[in-house]
Amino acid sequence: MQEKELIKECINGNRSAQHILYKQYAGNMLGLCYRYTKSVEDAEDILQEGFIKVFTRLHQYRQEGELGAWIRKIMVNTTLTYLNKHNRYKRELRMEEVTLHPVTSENPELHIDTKQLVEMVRELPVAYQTVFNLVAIEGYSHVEVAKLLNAKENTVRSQYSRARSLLVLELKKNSIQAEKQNYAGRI
Amino acid sequence: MPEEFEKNIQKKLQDFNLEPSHQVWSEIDAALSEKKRRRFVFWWWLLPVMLAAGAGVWVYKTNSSKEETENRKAGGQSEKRNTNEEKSIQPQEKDTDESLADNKQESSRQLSEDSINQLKNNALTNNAQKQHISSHKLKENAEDIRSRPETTLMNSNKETRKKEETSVIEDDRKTTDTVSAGIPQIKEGNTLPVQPVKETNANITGDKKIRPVDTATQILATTPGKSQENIFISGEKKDSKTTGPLTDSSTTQPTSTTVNIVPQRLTVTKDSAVINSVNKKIKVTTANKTHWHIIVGGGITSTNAKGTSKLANSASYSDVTSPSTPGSGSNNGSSARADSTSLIVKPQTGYHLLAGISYEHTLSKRWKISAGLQYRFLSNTQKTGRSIDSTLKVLAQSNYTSSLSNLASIDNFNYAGYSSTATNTAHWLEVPLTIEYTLNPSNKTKYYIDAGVSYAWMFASKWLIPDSRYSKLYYNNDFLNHHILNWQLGFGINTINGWKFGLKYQQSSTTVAEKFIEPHLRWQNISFYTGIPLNIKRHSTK
Repeated sequence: MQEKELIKECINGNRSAQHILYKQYAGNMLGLCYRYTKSVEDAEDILQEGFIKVFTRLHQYRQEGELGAWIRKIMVNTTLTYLNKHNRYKRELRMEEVTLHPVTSENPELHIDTKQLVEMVRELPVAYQTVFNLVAIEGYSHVEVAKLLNAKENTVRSQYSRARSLLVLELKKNSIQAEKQNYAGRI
Repeated sequence: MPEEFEKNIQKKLQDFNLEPSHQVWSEIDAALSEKKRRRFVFWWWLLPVMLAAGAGVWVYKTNSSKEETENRKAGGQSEKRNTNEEKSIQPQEKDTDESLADNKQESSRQLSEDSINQLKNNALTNNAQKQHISSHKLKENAEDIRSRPETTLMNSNKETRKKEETSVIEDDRKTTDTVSAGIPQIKEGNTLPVQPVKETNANITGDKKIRPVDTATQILATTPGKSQENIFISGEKKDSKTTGPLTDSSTTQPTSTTVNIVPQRLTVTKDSAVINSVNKKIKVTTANKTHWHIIVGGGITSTNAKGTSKLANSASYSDVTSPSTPGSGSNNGSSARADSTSLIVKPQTGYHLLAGISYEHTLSKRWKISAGLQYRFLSNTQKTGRSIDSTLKVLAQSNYTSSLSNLASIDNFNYAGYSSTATNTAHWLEVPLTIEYTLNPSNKTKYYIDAGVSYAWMFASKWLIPDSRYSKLYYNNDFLNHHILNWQLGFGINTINGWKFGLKYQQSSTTVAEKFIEPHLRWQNISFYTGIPLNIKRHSTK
């Protein structure tokens, strides 16, 4: 079934078509939700909420851009709403000014497993995690993120820099540890 | 390089996938179905309401037209009766004429028999048109009348009838004008020359009398809407033996001598029902075996845990009690307990309002059955503890021994306690079926007892579910029973006009929430209701 047909069927409420669409994007979208949250259950809740939105608003999709990008946008928005709604995230999502730290120019991120990298991102404080996900992975500009999170642009910038440096630090630690393990293994 | 870092991260993480559990899709599926159902619910609950309203209007209109038909039929019968009555008048009139002839009064234009009949007809027609003709003294004008030939008089009578049939006389002046249009030269203060008669008593059965009038003629009819219309042709009582002009509202014949006559009254009724009610009022009732009522009422709502609760559930229910004052009880008057106590407070008694339509069928003198469609709004308050914005997994099955895979996720919940109050609301669409036994069928005001069942569909609700298994309270529409079966008992009064006033106790056999939730609470309603008949019986005493 072509994407256009699939969309049409989904709009008509064809449950099997909706299931096909869900299967097509669920994995990737759960990965996205997972990066923003602290538990799989929360990620699944967001995924569920997000897909309900997708199916109920699919008629609004103008088929100009990619469907995946449209769904991703809905998922990101749903995630942000979820984080703002639930106290355990909301409390930590407060945007505060942080001092900037120098960033290393090394590329430890290339040598790390994706799952490990995701876990590192998830270990960041919620505010950093959110800003980092939005800027570094979704590709939003600082201005857009500021709007989405109802924060100042400078705050978002500093939050992002802090998140980035923390992540790099973690990555470096991880690579050093891996090197040590390799070295020990050779002995 | 920072840009490189972002690119690398993006590459690595944008395609990061995780396999969602199967439950996610099933929940999406359920949610989408629910949304679809809600859309249907939003529109479809209007359908029965509109049907009920339409049925009400239809029944009301049907009953009105039935009554009209019955009245017309009765009217037809009465007209027949009228004709017979008129026939019975004729001999008397003949007698009158004979007596007039006996007087040997010379008159070129005598009041003919036709004219008299037409006068009666006119009077009848007047009645049918509900004209009000009040207190007019009409005097004779012999000269005017004499100058008119009999044929003219006849024609004018016809004209009068036509005009009277089409016009409604609203006031005395108007009446006089209309009458005078048909009756030439009969004006207020005018003198009508009449055929001389002896004391005449031309009866039109019972009250219908035509009395010759001497100097003053009074035409009187009751206002429209009254049960009877009277036309009085009256005058001063004079010596009947003397001859003189005979007054008539429509036809008069000049005579040469003056007649003293006894005033006579013509009373004609508008239709059969009214004819019958000339001297006696009759009871107008339809012998329908079916009646429609608009039901409105309200009462108190509570939930109880009596019934088929198992022992374990009963034990659970023991938690569901109202606390005494905070700080008392198990804490022996120490400081108030934390609101996250495991004590689930019993829901407080609330209220409900109901409105609907009911159809009643009479089986026998004592027994009636009824069915209906009702809307019921229910509300009460529930004491709870702290509200927690977190997910609670609860066992969503009736069998404890089965696997824990059947866990339902609830987004927000409340701890058991009493620090906060939640307001519950529910909307029911209900179909009651009742059998009614009248205790005193021969009395005007009838007392009855009734019993029955009802099915209620809860189409919208926000009802906090107390779950003593976890000592938590939560909103979950999936766990609430939307199809509710109730049994009900009651008593009431049926008034003579068809109104009903009753008190009804209703309890659900279905639990408020699914059976796996403890305690097994059941709905309980005590309602006072009024049944307004759609066809209100018009009652009058004999």
